[in-house]
Amino acid sequence: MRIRKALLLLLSILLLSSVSYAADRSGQEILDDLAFSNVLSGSGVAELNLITENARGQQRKYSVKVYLKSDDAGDRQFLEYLSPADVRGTKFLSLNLEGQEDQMWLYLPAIGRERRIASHMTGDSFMGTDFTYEEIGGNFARSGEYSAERLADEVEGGVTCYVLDLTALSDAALYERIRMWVWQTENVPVKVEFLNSAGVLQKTLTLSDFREVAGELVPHSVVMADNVKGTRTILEILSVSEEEISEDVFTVRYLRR
Amino acid sequence: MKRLMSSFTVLLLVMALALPALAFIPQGELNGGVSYEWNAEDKKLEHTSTRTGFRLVLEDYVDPAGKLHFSFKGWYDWKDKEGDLALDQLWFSGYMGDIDYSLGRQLINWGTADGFNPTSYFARMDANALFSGDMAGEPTWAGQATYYGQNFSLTAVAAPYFEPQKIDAEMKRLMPKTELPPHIPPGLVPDADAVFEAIEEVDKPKAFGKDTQWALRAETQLAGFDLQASYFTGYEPLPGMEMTIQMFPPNTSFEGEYRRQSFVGLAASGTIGSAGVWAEVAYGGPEPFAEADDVPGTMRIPLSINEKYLQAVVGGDYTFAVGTGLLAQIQYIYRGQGSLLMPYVMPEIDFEAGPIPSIEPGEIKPASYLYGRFAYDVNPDSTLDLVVIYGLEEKGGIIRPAYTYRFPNAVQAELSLVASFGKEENVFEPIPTTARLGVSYKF
Repeated sequence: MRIRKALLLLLSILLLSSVSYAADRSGQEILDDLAFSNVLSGSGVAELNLITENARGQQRKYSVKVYLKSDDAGDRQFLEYLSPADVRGTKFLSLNLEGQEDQMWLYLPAIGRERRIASHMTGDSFMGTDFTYEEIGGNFARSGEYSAERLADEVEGGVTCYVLDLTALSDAALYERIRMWVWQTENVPVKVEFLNSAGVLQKTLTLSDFREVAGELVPHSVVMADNVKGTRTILEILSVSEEEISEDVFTVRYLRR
Repeated sequence: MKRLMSSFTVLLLVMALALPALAFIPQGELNGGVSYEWNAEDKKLEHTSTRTGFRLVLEDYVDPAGKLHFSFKGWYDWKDKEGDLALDQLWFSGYMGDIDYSLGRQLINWGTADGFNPTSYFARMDANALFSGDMAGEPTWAGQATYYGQNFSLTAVAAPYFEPQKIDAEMKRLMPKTELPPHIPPGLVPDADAVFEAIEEVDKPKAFGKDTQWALRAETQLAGFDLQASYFTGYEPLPGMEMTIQMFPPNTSFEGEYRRQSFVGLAASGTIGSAGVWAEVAYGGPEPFAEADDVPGTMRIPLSINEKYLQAVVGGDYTFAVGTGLLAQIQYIYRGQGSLLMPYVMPEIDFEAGPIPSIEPGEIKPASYLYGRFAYDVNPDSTLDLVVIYGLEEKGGIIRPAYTYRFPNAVQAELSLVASFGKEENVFEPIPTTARLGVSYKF
């Protein structure tokens, strides 16, 4: 009986300290401590279904294989369409290297060669989806670009979340304001709302089905809704592995194979 | 030669079947379409074609470093009751250290411009490509190897088997026809159809040995631009033709030969701000016709260019922030060898010169064109596309609007229209207004 009382006391202390820790954290600390790794960030290979949905709810589904490498030298991305048949074999290479102009190539199997394409995609649509290139890489709220204010906690997607209200500190930020729901126990966002300067909700990002990949939680279902256009893009992760990708992959030579 | 190619085909097929590790999953396309032409004289719509076709592809990676590809295609026109079944591509590509290579019948498409590539020496395009929008060109039998260095690559191609450009109905239609006055005896004035008949009789270059076609290409990057320099020595895609006129008795005849030709080429592509840009140029030409002995009462008139010339393309594209994005592409095309539509220049004939008309060689004038393409995705399932070609010297051109709708499961339908425009009697004028509805299913 005495042991049971001691155990209850210990649990109460632990719980209180945990609540106290959660209550004490500032919005900026939560933002800085985000343990977020989107599926298309870091270095690795992923196979995914990419589903686009128009305002009438009509969907188009693509299967793609993506190789990624992101380090101090910059970001490299190699993407190959696996299905449907009308785009199968189309490949896309993007090099965003430090100190160099961004470069992109598109390989079209029907003509048997690559074409250089304009690299003005940052801030624009990623492969015709509702994601921008920065959003798909998870770089939508880089440290230093936003000030974070913490709002009252809420339950979102079945988990208790911190709620952050982010305000852009400079014009370089993609959005004027961002509202973010951060899973308290895992420090990962489960929902993000992007607002323009007038406070109008433009996009909503929902992340779920988190699974551990190489020690990090990676969402295996990612949905971006464009609230203005009424469109949605759904990413279903079929497989993902974090591994060092050879630089040879991110070359025109590999594109031609 | 055909027997040799057949043997090679069988050998590659046997190789493919003998590789148990390969798990070919058939891919390809089924398509069909109906075409109607507007008959301006009778003012009525005429059904010109109902065509079905297919392309079947078997392709798989071969461990540890290679790929095997086999595809064939065919079509049948239900109106004209004619069709074709042909090997499309059959190649093996492999990777050895710094070298990638491929052997077999393959598409070798060089250059940096979009569609009009003066340095694409091997991928022959027929006249119909302009109207169908399919600018990929034809595969050819060749061996190709590329060495990849640190910041450059070198490619060598040897094509031992010569395949000429196909003469299609569009090319025949576009050759100018000569209306004979009643007092002109038959056989004296050249006829365009006779040129095409004569082309069929011209001997093709032999396979292998000294008649092999070669090309070299070096690629690198400079200041963010992709650069290519190339050299080609091979044969004209269509034979050089000459007309011989005999006065007594009056007669004309055509002779031709596939002349050896060589080109040097440069190509570049990159971006300037938010626009994609490219430039491509090739200079060269065929060996001139051999000098013939003067025979009294006869005259030889070349119908093909007989000197070196320049081809160039400069272009760019930009996506305007209109709705889902409006892609606009503009290209300037310069052809020192003359018109895009007519490979031969017929002689100039003056029927009023006397009882026997005066015939002078036609002048081959450089031609230049503006090519514009605009594409807009109305929604994720449908695209509006507009292609315009305008001949700056010919003062005419064609316009090709198209609407594509993509159904689920890789089924798509395209409704297109081709129409000519410009001043009277420009070279594009014989092109009738044509509407086509096509459906394709890819698997």
